[in-house]
Amino acid sequence: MNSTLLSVEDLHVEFRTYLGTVHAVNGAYLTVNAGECVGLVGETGCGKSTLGFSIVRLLDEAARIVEGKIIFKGEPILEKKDEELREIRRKDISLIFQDPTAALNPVYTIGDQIVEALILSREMTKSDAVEEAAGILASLGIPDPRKVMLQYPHELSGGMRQRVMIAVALSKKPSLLIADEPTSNLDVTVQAQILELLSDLRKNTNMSVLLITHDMGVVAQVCDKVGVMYAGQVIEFGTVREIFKNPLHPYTRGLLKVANLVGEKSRLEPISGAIPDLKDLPEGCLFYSRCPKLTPLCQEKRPTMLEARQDHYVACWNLDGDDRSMR
Amino acid sequence: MKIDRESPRMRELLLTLYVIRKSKIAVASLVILAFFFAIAVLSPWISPFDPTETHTSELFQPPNSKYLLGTDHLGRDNLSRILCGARYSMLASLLVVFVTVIVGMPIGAVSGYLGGKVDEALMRITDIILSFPGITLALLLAYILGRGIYSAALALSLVGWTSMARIVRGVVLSEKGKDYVLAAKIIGKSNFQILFNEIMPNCIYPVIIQAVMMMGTVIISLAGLSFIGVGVQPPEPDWGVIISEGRQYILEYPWLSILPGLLMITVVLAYNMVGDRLRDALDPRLRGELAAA
Repeated sequence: MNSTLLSVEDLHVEFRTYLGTVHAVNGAYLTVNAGECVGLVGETGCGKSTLGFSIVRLLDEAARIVEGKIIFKGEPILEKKDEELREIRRKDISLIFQDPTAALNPVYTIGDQIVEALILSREMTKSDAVEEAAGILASLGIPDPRKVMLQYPHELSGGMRQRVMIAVALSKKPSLLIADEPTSNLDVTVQAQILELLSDLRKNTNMSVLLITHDMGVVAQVCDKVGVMYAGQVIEFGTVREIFKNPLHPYTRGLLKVANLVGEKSRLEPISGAIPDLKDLPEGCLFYSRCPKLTPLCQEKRPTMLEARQDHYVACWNLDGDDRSMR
Repeated sequence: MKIDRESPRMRELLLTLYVIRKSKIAVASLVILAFFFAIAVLSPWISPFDPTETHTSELFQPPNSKYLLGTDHLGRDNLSRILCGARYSMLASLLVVFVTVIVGMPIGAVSGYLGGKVDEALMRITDIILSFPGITLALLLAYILGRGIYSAALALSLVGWTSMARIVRGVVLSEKGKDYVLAAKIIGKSNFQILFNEIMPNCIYPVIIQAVMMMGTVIISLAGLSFIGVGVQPPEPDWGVIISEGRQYILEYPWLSILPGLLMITVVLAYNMVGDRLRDALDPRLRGELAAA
């Protein structure tokens, strides 16, 4: 159960743009074990989606992975040829997007799209695939799946479309599902249903999930572990219980305070300052300009991930005495 | 074959037809087009006379019971000439637009999808072709291949595919950035499958609309080429040729030129009306509104 399915080590991704090189991901560490749900949180533009897309190597043309390792099932993803990558995408990794409306092809019916995915990934015959598709849709709580299969994406509601997209993603029985803000566009009740659905599926199929979100509440609800990203760097990684109880990085503390999930309920307390310019990163810690407890060392050298406690990694120079032990 | 009214494609088609049917102008235009196509196909059998046969004793006859629309300067029957002339306008324009779609669509699609150097090269070629006025190119081809309807049609196709390619390229460019393309990559589809199975079906509507709109322009251009003498050659009766011949007698016998001119305007207008309505009827957002209205 505890075998490592995916590990990302020191990943750096940059985008070449007309305005200069944008350093979108600057040192991302992540481990996903089989059957685990790992959350990836951070504010908008912190590189969480870029990290997610790097894993399947479907980044924009302007993006380049400059450094780092991505190991999936013991094999280095970054050294794969296109053909091998297609095979991995076809069979092993699924991705669901934020906007289900755009992710379904408007000219094909729901049935066509799921059936096609089944035929491609599991080499089923057409009639088997139709049966299977209806089964999957039913298991996702869609009433009257046969009728839905004849409908076009624009005829369904947002929540239904998201279920359909999950159905397409699950059709190949992936070992890893990357969910990029799967519930951000949905209203709260539907959001809860979809999240519940995801956790049920995970329990029943031993599939791992990498859940990309900006919502600490969602993480607390469904994840086993969580990575916190800031300006492209994973600054804290550990079990959800550990991180929520004992956040070590000042940014994580701020984030939890803003989310109002810990401590006494008080007025919203924003983290002052803004994220650094990704085109012109500071030499030292990326959180330097906003950090409440900075030291001269912070400005000179960027902290790397240390194992502060068991299963709890953090990139910060200023940990309280006992919490610190070199990895 | 049993038609399944409940199948999704059928439902869509029926809705589109329903929206078109609600517009009186569009229906009338469709009837007009059907009428002219019928004439074009049937003209050899329904013309009262051979359109090139001259009756030298009966020049410039006004309409009468023998010659329903009168005769021209060589005593040829006007009605027969106009009926047979429909053949060139209606059928040759169809051929030109067909070639345009067949050539322009894949080139535009590949150009838009692959981007980069391929795109650059293909688009510069279309730029070069677009910088020639169509008429000049037709004149050039007429001298190389000899005058006639085929070199005229070829010249128009040669120019026409570029605008089709540009339209398709534009649509493909906007479509390829959408998430469903990414979703298709995620299920392991090849570039070829993604372009032709996922993206192209989304480009079909703009192509249909552009093709219908193009028909009118092509008809005018073909007649224009015949008018200046590089298209259909006299004594063959193209509408352009008829107008051109009647021009010399326009003050004394105006109907010789005016009637084929009016017919041509009718056909072109009909095409544009149908194209207009089709654009609305094929737009998934407008369609619902129009069906309800």
